[in-house]
Amino acid sequence: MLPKPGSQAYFVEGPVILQEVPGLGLLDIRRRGDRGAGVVPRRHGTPVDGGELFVRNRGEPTMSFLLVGDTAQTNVIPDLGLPEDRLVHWVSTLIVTWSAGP
Amino acid sequence: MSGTAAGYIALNGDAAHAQGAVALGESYTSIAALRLPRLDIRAQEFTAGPLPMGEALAFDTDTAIGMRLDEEYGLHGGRLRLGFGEVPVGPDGAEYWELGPAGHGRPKPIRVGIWEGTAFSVITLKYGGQSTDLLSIFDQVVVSEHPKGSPCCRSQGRRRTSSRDR
Repeated sequence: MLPKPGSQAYFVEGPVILQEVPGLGLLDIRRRGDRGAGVVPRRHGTPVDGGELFVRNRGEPTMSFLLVGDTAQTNVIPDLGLPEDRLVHWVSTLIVTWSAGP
Repeated sequence: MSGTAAGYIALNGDAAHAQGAVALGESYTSIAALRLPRLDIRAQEFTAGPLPMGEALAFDTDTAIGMRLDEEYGLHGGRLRLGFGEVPVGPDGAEYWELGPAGHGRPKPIRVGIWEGTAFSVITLKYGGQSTDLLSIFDQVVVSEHPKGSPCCRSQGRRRTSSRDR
């Protein structure tokens, strides 16, 4: 879906892709730099295959993560009650990319 | 079981790809907001997903109660269905009211517009107003189905937007 030519319409947020991963949680994927993607921390994150990994919220009810790659920013919102080691393994192996459409 | 890699087509035609150590889900949605200056709308949100998603969201009681889809038009090679219901009472008991002509409160109407192609749908909501407002909103955009899509959402031999591109 695109703005109709001549309509003066334009995207003000997103697009975002929401992917529910069964048994693990939700991926919120956006183009890196999208205004709705949130601020990338100035400090360095943990280097992982997919870029830099930040813990966005630690503690109850669960922690969430921000994965910053070269082209995409992905918020990872885990399901409640996941074992931490399984969660960290899943997130740290994730690689997400974004490319502009035609 | 789905694979550990997945491709996505975003609502604006951008592409994304994810891979990891675990199986990813079968379907996804894409959401974006557009500013529509000619309608004086600062941010109109659209949600795209598999074909049944639009109607499912419209009839979800978290969206509206008493939803009725009562208008249908051909648009951009698909069909545009318009409907209306009333904003539900929130889980905290909060109600959203507007003032009626007699000065009494009444449930605030909510309108939905669902564009349905052959394999995916796009839905947008509007609080109050008339169904013609939704026609004006959809007149500000061009909706088309992407040549890439999910085998699970393939229809009539073609692959469509906002479904998995493996």
